Amino acid sequence: MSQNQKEFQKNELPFIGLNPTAVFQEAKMFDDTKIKPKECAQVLTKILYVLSQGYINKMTKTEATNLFFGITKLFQSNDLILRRMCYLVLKELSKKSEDVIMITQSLTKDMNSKSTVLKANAIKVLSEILETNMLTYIEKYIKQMIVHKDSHISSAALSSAHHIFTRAPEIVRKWIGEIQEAIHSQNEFVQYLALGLLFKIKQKDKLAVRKLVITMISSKSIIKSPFTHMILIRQIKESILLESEEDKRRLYFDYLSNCLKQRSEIVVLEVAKIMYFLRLEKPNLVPKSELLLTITALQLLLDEKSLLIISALRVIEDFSKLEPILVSTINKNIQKLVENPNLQIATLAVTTLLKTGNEESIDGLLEIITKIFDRISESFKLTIIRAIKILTIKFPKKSQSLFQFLLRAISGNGDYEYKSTVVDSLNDIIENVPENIPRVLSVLCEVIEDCEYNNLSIKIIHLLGNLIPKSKEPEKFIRYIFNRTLLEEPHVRASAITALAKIAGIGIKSNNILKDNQNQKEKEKEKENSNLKSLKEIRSRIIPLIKQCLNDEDDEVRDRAVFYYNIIQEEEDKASKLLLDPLPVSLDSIEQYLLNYKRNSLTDEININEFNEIIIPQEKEKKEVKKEKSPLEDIPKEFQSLGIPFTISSPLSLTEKETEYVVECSKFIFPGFILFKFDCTNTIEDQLLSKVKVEMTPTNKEFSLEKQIEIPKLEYDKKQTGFICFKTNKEFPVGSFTNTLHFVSQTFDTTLNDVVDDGFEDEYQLEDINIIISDYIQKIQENNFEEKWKNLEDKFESNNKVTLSAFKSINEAVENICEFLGLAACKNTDKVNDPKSQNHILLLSGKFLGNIDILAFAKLKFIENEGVLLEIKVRSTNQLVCESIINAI
Amino acid sequence: MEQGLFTVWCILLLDKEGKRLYCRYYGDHFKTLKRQRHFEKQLIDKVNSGEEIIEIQNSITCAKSFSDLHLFVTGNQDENELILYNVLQNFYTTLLLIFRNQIDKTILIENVDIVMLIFDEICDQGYILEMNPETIASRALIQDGNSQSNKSSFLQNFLNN
Repeated sequence: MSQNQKEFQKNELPFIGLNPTAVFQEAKMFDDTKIKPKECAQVLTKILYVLSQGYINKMTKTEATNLFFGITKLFQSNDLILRRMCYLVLKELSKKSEDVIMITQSLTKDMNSKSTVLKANAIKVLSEILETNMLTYIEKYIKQMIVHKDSHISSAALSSAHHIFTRAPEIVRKWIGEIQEAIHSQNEFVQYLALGLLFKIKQKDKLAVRKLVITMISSKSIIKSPFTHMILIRQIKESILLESEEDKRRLYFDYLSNCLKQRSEIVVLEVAKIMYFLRLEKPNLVPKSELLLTITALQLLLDEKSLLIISALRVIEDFSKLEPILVSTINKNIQKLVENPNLQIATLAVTTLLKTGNEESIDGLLEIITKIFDRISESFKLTIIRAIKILTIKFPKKSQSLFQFLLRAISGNGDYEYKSTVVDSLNDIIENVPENIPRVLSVLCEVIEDCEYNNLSIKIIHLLGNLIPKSKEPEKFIRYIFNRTLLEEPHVRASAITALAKIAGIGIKSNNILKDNQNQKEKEKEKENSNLKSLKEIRSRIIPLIKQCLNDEDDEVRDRAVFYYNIIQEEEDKASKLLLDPLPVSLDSIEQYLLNYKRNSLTDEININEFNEIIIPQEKEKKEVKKEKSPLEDIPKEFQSLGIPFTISSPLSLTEKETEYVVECSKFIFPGFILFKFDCTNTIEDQLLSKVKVEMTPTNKEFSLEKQIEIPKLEYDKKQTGFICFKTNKEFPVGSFTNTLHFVSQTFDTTLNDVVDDGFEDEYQLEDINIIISDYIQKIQENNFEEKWKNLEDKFESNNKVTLSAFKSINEAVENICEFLGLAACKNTDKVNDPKSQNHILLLSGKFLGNIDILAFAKLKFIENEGVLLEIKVRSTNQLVCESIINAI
Repeated sequence: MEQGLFTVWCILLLDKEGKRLYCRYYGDHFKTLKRQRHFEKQLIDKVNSGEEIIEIQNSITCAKSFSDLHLFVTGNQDENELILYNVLQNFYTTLLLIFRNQIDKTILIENVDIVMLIFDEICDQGYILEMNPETIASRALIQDGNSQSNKSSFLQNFLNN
């Protein structure tokens, strides 16, 4: 054994721990007059190795350039291996080094040599380093190489052509004849690369693409490989979306069904993915028979090796969200996989079945999940818990079993995210199974005894604080919560104090709901009264417990203890209200108020009464509002003088999705003015729009144009905003506008990055915009509905009785009424607990033009075959408002 | 996704601990070294928990573990994972052909130049050029019609000197 060898063994492996600076020093060897090919190649290997370890991101330009010049010298040697390593390093350097153009001559020489290796590799490097204007010199060689009979050379040339296309498409377009010839190559990759390139060249000419697709799919014998099929399938996805003729679409679908019968799994999976995409985007376009074929083809993959099963199941799971019934036809095959030793397979099978199964199958499924649950990884557990969370909503009847499962899950092992999701699901489900509250309480109390995540403890203690007051024997759980104030970290102690205070609050809770709703509750109330005495005792038991915390060493804990200690000892009614009722204003209102406050003055006193008068944009998903900036900030300075709007509508789409231009409109209502904000997007890459404005024509004379701000320039995919303001002479006019988008359209060349013509004026029809009564109303929840309703008794009231035949259930009617009137539901009356109930009472509230109170009391009755009978009373301080709302119905 | 063609974001050959043996990133999907390392760490965690198809953010990866090594091929989330798997499988078969079933970290490090050439022959800046293991192997070993140099590892030669 030589000395070197021994040293290597001692140092474990070569290369590991190589020092980049030392390696670059070794490259000085390239300057020697006599080149030693083996040693030089060895140094190049070391360089590539250190680059791949991450040094490529750190290498300086000087280092790269020096190395590059060293390598140019190595081209004097004709050693093939050395040359090959040179090519590899050159590719790495092409983006880093200066003067790479120096090597062009040597590479061109290699490209013209007889050696396949030299030819194929030289072209790959050349296409990387040549400037666009230099490409013309080697064009004729590339053209020859594209049609070269050696696939090594032609695939390298085609791949290079793909790269050149991204910077100089006009050059590649000239090679179309050669590329077309290459499609007939016997080599599958040459054909694939050539066809892909051909589609790229033609992509803007829809007719040419269609012709090419049809030629290819009608002469099947040409197609050599799954990869060529794959390009066609992807192209057909686009073609189907664009094709308006049913016959032509049929042709495409026939081809896709044929592909499903192929032996290649790649092709089957590709078609399945495309079918899923089409079904998702354009549900009516895909014939049911095609979907059935797809599912059947996927089913066959379920008997293959694990990776194929996983791929197939992934698409099947996607489909199960859209077509649960269709997928349920292969449930038997999926069922077999739930106990597969590969847990990725087992989990996918389970989550699919959870979506396709019916109510009856859930129990069996839960049993299986329980069996495998302990063995699967955290991320899979989370997937399953999320699926179960959806089920709890889908099948309220199965709440009991799902609930059992979740209870077991919360007691078992798991990380924070997982346990937290379980607690959320329990929270969602507990309303459906009130009889289980005692059990969930005792389990959760056990969990917090020994919980390793503080945040989870807090979450659970919070839930307990809400649930324990609803249970029959709250006193049983006090001890568990109190223990937390002794044993935990400060923030957990603080949350435990809050929970204790809430429990203390129940003794005195008076549960007056509106009289109309009271009869059913009367019996329960009597029962409650008998308990009242013991409940009062609870309060007196908790007071000393909180008192103990008054001396806690942590500020937050002590503060809370002081706060609650005082509140509990307030008058009974007041205390319970403070402890158990939700805040009289929404957090969003407070946030908005404080933001405005910060922006405006910071000097005025904060007036709590003003919180409720704050406008909350009527977004459906409030989370989004928080992420985005306030819509008030969108108002340009030209319109700042209008003040703060009464209401802001959520954006309304005036175009269909995926059209050339996308326009969304939001309405801002000001006293005497209406401001329309238009968000416009240009979705065509090779077009630049300018002077973009919306022309709005009102259908009645109550609106007159005040001011308009147009969008000077609208580039591709960059959203811009324009405004129109109308003046009104009525207090709250209603009416509609017809709208047209006007603009100048210029052709934009993406490669030149500039416009190439003067353009022309054009217009585009938009959807109508209506101004309706609900545009003037802010949704504001009234927590004291009963009291307010009484207060308005002597003001104005209107009523109406109509049958809404369009609705098939109470639920549907409730949703639509809230939406239509633009009023907020109070006391959770928008939640219909029993979906089959025949009667429901809906309490609604809001503010008209920012200061006029509106309350509505609606009785709904569902009558089979007739629809929903709505009896509604509206009260307000303004007669006109009352009548307008009633008339709107 | 690029029109029609499938593209590969990266091919990674890592050891059991997640250290790079050799790897190539194509395009701009993981620009900084920090993001690359983080991604590699996530892959190792997932593959250790038994996943063969790994979804991380907007990417999808096929994984294969053999001896003391992991091989990963990554593409866009919407990419056909079976193609990535094919690349992976053919890469592995090529290694088998060249190193006669004895693949481990030591052998591949000692012949890292050949490994680099296999990468280069399979994938050119994200485009797949060839998948036939025999073709790839002969190209990586530089068996040229016009040159008879039969390639053995530089290291072997280096050690014999």
